[in-house]
Amino acid sequence: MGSTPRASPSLQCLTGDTNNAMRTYVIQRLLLAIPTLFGITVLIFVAMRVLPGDPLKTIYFEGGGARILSEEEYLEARKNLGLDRPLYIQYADWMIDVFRGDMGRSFWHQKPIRETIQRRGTITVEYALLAVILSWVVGLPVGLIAAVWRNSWVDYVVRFFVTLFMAIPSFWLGLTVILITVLVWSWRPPLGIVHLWDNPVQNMQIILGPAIVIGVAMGAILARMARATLLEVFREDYVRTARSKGLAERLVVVRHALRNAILPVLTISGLQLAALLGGSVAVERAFSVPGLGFALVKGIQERDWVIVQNVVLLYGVVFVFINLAIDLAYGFLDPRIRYG
Amino acid sequence: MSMKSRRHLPLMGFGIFLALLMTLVAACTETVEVPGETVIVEKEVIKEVEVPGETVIVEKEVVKTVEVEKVVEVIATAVPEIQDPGFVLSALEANPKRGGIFREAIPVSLNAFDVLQGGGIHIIAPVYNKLVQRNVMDGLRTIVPDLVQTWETTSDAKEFTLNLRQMVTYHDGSPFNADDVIANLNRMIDPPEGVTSAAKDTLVAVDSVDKIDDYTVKFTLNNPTPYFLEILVAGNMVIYSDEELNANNGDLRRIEIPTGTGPFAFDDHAPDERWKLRSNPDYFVPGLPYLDGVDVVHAVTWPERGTAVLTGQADYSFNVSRGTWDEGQKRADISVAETPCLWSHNVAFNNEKPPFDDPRIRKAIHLAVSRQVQIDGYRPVWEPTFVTRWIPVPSPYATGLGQIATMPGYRADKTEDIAEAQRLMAEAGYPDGFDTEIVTWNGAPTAEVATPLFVDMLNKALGINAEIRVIERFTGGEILASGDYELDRGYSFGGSLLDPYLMWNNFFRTGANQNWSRYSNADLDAVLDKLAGELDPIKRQELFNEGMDIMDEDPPVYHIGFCAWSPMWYNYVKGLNLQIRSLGSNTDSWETTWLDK
Amino acid sequence: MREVGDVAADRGVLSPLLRTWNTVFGVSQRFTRTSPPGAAAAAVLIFMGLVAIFAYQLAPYDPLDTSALHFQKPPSRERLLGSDHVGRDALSRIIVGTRTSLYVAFVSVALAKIVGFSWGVLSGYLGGKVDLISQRFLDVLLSFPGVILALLLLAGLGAGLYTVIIAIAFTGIAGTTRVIRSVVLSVREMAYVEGARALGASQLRIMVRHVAPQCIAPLMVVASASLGGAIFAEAALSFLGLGIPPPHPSLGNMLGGVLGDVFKPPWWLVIYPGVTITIAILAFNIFGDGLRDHLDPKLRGRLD
Repeated sequence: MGSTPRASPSLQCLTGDTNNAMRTYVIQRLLLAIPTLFGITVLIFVAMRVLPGDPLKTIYFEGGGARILSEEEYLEARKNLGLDRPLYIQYADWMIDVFRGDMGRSFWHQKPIRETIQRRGTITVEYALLAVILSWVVGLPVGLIAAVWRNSWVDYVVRFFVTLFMAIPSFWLGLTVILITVLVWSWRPPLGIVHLWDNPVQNMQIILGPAIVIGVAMGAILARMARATLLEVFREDYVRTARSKGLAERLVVVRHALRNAILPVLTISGLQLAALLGGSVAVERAFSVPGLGFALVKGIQERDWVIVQNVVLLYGVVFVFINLAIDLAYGFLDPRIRYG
Repeated sequence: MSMKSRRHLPLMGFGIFLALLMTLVAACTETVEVPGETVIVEKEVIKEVEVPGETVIVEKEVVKTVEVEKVVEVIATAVPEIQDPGFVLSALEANPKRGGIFREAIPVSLNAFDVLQGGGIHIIAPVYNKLVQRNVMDGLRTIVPDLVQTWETTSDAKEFTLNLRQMVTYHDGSPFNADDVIANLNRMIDPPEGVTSAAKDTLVAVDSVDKIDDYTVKFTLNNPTPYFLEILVAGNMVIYSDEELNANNGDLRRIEIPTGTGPFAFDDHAPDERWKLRSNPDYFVPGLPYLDGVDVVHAVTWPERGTAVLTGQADYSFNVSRGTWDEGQKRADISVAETPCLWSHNVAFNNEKPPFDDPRIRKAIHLAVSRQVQIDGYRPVWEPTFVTRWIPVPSPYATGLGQIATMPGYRADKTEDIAEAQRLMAEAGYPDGFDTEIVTWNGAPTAEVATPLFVDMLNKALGINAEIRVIERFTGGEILASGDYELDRGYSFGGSLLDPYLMWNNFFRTGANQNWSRYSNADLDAVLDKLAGELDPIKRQELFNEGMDIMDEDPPVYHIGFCAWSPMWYNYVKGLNLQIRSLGSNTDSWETTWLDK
Repeated sequence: MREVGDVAADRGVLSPLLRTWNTVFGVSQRFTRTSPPGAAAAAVLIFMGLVAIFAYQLAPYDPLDTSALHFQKPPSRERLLGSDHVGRDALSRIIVGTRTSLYVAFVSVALAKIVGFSWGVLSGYLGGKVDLISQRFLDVLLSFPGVILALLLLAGLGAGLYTVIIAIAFTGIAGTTRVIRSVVLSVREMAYVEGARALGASQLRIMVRHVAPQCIAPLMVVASASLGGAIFAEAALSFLGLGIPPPHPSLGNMLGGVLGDVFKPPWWLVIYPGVTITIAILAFNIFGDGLRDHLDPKLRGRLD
């Protein structure tokens, strides 16, 4: 997660009427997203077809009593799934499915992909959002405390735990948590998907585990980031001015420093969220949560091209929009930035 | 890989001895008492119409239901058949309670409702019926009516006439009759264009299926097949409705709601997630099912299934990991059992690739690598396995486990076997071994435990150095089919019958459909030819023995043994008779299941 | 496998050796002053590196030697960290596994940084159409989740030491390119580069002699930060069953291999590899921070 071109010159042009410029900027960004998304679809479309391993042979081997198709049967089954048509037609077909909204059907279970994405996606979005919220709730105050009392023992303790939690593999932590709950209390979170609106308690039991494990790791990164930026901001002129003006330290921190320090934190959080929505596969597996990441990995393993294509495309769309949202948020929080 | 660890050999010997001991102990427990030389005894039992009363360890009322009034034919089969026009299933226990939702932990990864085309048989089994079924009341030891009420066989076992049940309806209200059976069987034997049939291989003997009247069907076979009814109990022999088949041109992959005649009707389904069934109020067996419905909890791996039971999320799972099984055994509210299954653990040789085309090399490996040590190693993370020859444990034709434990290659003490194996290797021109590659699918039980153990033992005994190639689980079939391997740990042979003829014919005959090890042995082919027409069980046994001897000398694969499944359930789950089962099953239809709570 | 990561002994003459020693000593002294935790982490890493180099000499047992007598035995005096499911000595496997994991981490990061560095310098310096197209391509790469990219690559290439390295390296390229490119963009406008251009130096010469050296420090910082990530990636891939193929040990496949598929894993197989991996990542992270403070404190905000 390196620095993205936040500082690219086009952002900092100070000309033009704000509203208008903003609209142009958004449109410009969306137009720029089109080649990216196109690139993603082509890349994944080709990648799935280049991968060794044929979905058909796979399907019939698994379910049909470990049986292998004859050449003739194989060609028939291929035709049945429309895989005998030229590639560009298959691609166009997929695009039509995407724009129609059902995204095609899975080779394996014949269900529309939209259904899978809705069901799985809900869980993933839930724990991702919860993890981000958690990381803010934990990370920001901790970073703030460490920055205000820098080089005190509080700071050292905070930094120690921050560094530690950044280093612990989250899936390992998750696995250990599950093992402990199973061994000590003979309890584990419900398997399968229970939606928030069906049974909030069970739903929370499912998503709380991944949310906490990921949230803690993200919170550590956030705390570190917050501390670093706050320290930088404290050195800035306007903070010094505010202090010399005799403003209470609390007000200095909240009104001036925090407001400025929040931008990089926001960026990191946004990027983390985008990455999380793609599904934190290992954590999902550790908790046996059937989220989007799980579906995607299974799709790759089963060579269920349709689901992989759509989830990756969805991921690309989310990524583009979150990035755009971050940039727009900059405009609201930092009056120095204009869009033109 | 080095051979540095010779120093551990004496210690390993002790380990092997322990393993042998454990296997023997396992072999002596009640769940495994089936096979051996009992075939003739069982045949007599059938003749005297007394039916295996003493082999079935059940309460008294069982014996009553199992008793039969007449036996039409006297052809011996691997599985005894019970015919009784009034036969209906019921729970063995007195006063079963009604109601409740039964929760089962299995993978819900089905890709369609079409069992011939990759559909998840274990999931949709309760929605459908088959023609005949294994008897859940005596631990799956006999074959009893399902949609068929009675049957007649000619003495040459080439004609089977089935009398169907009347007044059976599908969940949508349409009636069941002979047309449904004909349509399904024809689809299995000769699928329409664009449809593949997984049942084709087992039905090769069927010449034609004819409708005699609305409730009578006649099968004409081209070969005597005394165990024909056993073929019909396979999981994929479910009977869809004729109407539905016609409406979909025989291709049921796209149907959204499976409609059968079974005790449970479809309720809800989300792929890889859940599967709900509710009871069928119009089920043709009066009073069944006892349950209100069945919920399947999606649990893919062995430990996940076990954990689902241990943590109270599921009432039952047909096969859990040994670690969870041991845990369950310690608990007062949970019961466990061990049931032999009909699939096996093996390492396939690619018989076409040198040096595995040399029988001496294959036999050397067959002799040298300890089965007991391997089973002991992977058992805690996977499943227990019996050291067997080429026939599954519950089959009456199988060699007794006690006898197998003393045979070269199969015995735990490897000293003589390894010496002989090294001699064979030297004779074949590889006194110091050779380099090769072994395919294994990713996943801890195979890739991290079973395969490394095999590879290390192979190296220590014969100097054969096998690099492990890890593949994804789902590409395993393709690799076996394409022959792009030298050794393959993902290979398994098995079937659904206790009579091993079809299994051998499909897996080991030269050029057979599922002969993935590319084995060819003219002697075995000749034995199979003789078996095809042989009705006399004593001669059949002799032929099977001959076949096993041939394969011990010229092994098609390195065979570890047939596995055992480890069901685990709460004590309040009744009506499944899991403790007395002679056979593992993952296609139960839960019609006699009830919950005592 | 055995030879993986072997480092040939240095056979220099004495005086350059002394000079090198002095430089190293000086640098480490200064480093210790700017960042004591970084120096401590460096010490840990040097220790791990030595363990990795002499892994086969240090391992008390053959890490591949299975033994029926030792199936899942807890730590004992004979086998300090116990033995695994197939009776292999856990300590020996951790030692050799450290070697594999460090090797994977270093090689994959080196690969990713070399490619990302060249790409970033080229794209940033040449600008124009090249830059535009490469930017779009980076957008595509960046919007793929790293783990999915790795899974796709591994599915295509098959599991193996080098395929894991390539997969991990591949996921690190785009990020590096972005960072280096942004550095190049600012360096490009600097006076001395302008001067070189005015003096008629060739494009290539400017890039290699003037622009690239300016990017080395940021590159080192990015690289040291990526090493921990690479160790983690290897562990995560192993956990998903796509890591270093058995029977060879790596920290990742010791941690991930059996753990995910066992109900009650023996505690010594959960704790020791997990702790080793955490220490490795921790050391790389702390060292990376120290290095950044040491090389360029101003980079701090930019690279987080």
